[in-house]
Parts: sequence; structure tokens; C-alpha cells
Amino acid sequence: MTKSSDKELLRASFKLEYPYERSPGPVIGKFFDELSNEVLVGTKNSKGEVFVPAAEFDPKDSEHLSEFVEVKNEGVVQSYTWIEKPRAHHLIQESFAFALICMNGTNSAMLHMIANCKEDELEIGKRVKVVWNQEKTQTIRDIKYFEIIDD
Amino acid sequence: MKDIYILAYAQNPIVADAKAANEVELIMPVVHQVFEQTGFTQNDIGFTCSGSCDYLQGAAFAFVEGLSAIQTNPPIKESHVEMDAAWALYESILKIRMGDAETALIYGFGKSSPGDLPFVSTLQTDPYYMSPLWPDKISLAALQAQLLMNKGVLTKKDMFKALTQSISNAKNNPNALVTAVPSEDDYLSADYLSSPLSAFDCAPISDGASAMIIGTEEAVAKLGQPKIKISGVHHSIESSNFGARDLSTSESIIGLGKKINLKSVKLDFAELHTQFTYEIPFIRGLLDLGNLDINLSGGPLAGNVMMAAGLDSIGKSYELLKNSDFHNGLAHASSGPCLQQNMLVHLEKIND
Repeated sequence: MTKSSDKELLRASFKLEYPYERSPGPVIGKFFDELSNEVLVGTKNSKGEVFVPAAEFDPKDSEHLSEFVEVKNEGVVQSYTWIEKPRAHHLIQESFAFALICMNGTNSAMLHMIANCKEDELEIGKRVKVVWNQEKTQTIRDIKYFEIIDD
Repeated sequence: MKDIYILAYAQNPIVADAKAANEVELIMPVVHQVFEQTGFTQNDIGFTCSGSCDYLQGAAFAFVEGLSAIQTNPPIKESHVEMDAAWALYESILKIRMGDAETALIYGFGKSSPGDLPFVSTLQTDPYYMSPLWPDKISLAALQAQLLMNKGVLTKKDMFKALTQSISNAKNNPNALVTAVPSEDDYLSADYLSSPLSAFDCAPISDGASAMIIGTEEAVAKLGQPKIKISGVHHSIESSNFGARDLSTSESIIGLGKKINLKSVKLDFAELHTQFTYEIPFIRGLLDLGNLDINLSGGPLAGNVMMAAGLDSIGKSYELLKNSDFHNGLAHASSGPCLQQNMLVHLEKIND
């Protein structure tokens, strides 16, 4: 008997996806609605801390969050990783960075991408601003990416 | 509360590509080995629990297939975690503590080679704010590594040292996949996949399976082998709100160190579920491990079977205690981006 490990592997095409839709609910839904209007909103806890992207609850004490505040579409890079050669699935197929960005006046960070810059222009603490996608889908992708603010 | 001991552990040789061998064929040999080590059959097992990830096979409830590797007739008490098998061990510990079983069989398996693992892992992230941006597993780890380097917590040199120590130690594990130690020049000049991480900093894509049997004091006494006790085990998770976590530290790991009372234990070694080089100096610092030997088995950098590698940390610690003069070992398992969820296990050799 030949072992399976000696045989050729059968191959079939396969699309990696969630084959279902999700309902974003009142908090994340509001955040996405506003994104499609090119407005960034966050949720505020009773201590006055603001979460962008909007959080449904405070990650520290689970306080239910429902108060929305608008924030400017500028922030500061908390960390980043430069991807010189983008790989399959990456949305930007030229060199770009993933980054954690703390929007001005907020107390958490947002994961997104930074493009239109060179690696050596990027550093922790750099100021960046939103570049909107022309086509809105009411998803996190309504932000196309961030770019560096020239001082 | 009942004391719980590890009775047996087995690991398949870790391979980069198991080709057409299916999951059942990966699991069967290790299940047979742990039965051989104990003299048990499935009838001696009170509870069976497995850990795996359906995304690797690309089908819902794919893990059920794995059950074909064990004898399930007459019907058995069984469960599964969509996690590393270290958490299947945790569920089994609870089951025994509750008095529902005296023994448990745990197995974990993963075949990562058919897919693109860093992106398969993306599907496990937040489906609203994260996964639509396709952040791969390496890039998420790189965000933490960059932050830690920026804060002066660690350097590329520390990461290289962690890599060379791990790969040199891999000679202790006949099942290890990677045994070639890179030169410092090769390491420092390697292109970054996601800065500051190159392919050298990432655990290899691996296929394999591992199994373990645990049991009560009565069960271990019958075996007449060194008694390796699970003296402490706790796990904790940080927020799913990725941007709200402080990635420059780990509340989870620091908290667990206190919970299992590490300060009071004179550790001989630690086996850490570290899938990226930077995680070794990072956790060494968080738990104040000083010069303690870490990953004497080579650890995940020498072979990293998804959903079994955490259980392997515990299993390799068991083997080390059983086959040496060591008395106390620390094992760690992890899950989620940037060490989001962690488990610490204190294993102790009990002398009669």
C-alpha cells in the first residue's frame, strides 16, 4: 500500500472568505454610516475617554458606550510596519505600511494603512491624515489609507 | 481539588509539507504512541478533547473528521476547542477537577501547508475593523516588535540571539523541522517581510500533530514512572479591541505570572509558545526570567504546528522533567495577534 504522504496532493481552487454577511449593529453601524459621509466619530466613556474606531464597550471595565463624538481626521502613528513588497490579499499593491494610528483627541488606536510615502519618512509619532475612498461601502475601507501630513 | 498529572505525550515529526496525508493520518500515530506509553486503550479514557482550526482545512466542522483517528464506539465523552490544544488540555483539567473523569486524552493538529497561513489567520481577527484590511499575522506581530524596539525593550541583536539559541536547541528534539542556524550577517541583511521582521523572525509553516494523556494521582501511581504534576495553570485574554491594547507590555502575561505565583518557584527552564523571535526576549522580561534556559526543545521557531505548538510547550516540558534532573518547568501557550491570549503552566516533578 502506498502511503498518502507519497502521493501527489489533489488541488482545487478555493476562495478564502466569509460566505455570509454581518450586521454591524447600532454603534459600529453608526461609525460606518458616518465614514461614508467622510466624518469620523468615536464613542466616549464616563471618564471622557474616546475610542476611535467606535467601541461598543470600554475594554477595561466593560462600560456600555453609546455617546458619540466627532473627531478630526488627523492622528499620530503609534506603531507601524513597512511592507516593501506587498503580498497576496494586501489591498495596496505598492509599498505601504500597516499602522496603529491614534486619532487626535482619542485614547485608543485604529489599525489602518499608510501609503504615498517612503519608508524613511515614516516614524512613530508622525502625524497622518485620512485619505477617503471615492466609492463608499460603509465599511472600514471607506478610509482608503492615511498619508503623512507635511509640516 | 484533585491533583492532575501528565501521563504521556507524543509529537509527530514536524514537516513543512505533509503532502496528501490527511489530518487523521497525522493524528493516528501520536494517539497510538500515548496509548502505548500508558498501556491504556480508549476505554481507559474518561474524556477526549482536541484543538484545531477549521480555517486551515477551509470547511466548517472540519475538526469532526479528526475523531476518526480514535475509537468512538461505544460512544465517548468528547469535546473540541477551536484553539490551540493547550486549551483542550485546560478544558480536560476542568473536567477532571469537576469529577467527571479520571483521565483525559488531548490532541492537537494542524496542516498549514495547503493555504497561506499568515492570511488564513487574518480571518480570525475582528471582522468589522480589522480583517477587511487584510492585516496578515506577520504584519500584526511586526507592529508590536516595532513598538518594543522603539521603546528600547529589545533589539534586533536580542532577536538574533533568541533565534540562534532556539535553533541550536532544536538538536534536542528529533521531531524539529528547522535545524540550520543562520549566520548573523545573513540574519541582519535579510529583507524584511514586514519591518522589522524578516522570514528568519517567523516560525516555519509546519504540518503535524501531538497528543497527551493526563490523569489523577490514582492513574499516575499505576504507571510507575516519574510523577509530573500540573502544579499551576491559568489563562487570560486581553481585549479584542486591538487598538485599545497596550502592545508595549502584556497585562495578560504579567497577571498570569502572579497568578501561578512564579516568584515562589525555582524554575529550571521555560518552554514558550513564541512564534516570532521578538517574543522570547519580550516574555523573558515580562516574567523576569533572567538567564533561565528558554525553549530547550527548539520551540516554535524550530517547528510550529498550528493548534498543537502550545500543547507542545507543555509536552516538551513534561519530557524534560521526566528525562532529566530538573524539578520545575514553566510552559506557555498563546493565541491571537500579538500574544492576545496566554496560558502559563507550572509543571513539577514530585518525588515520592
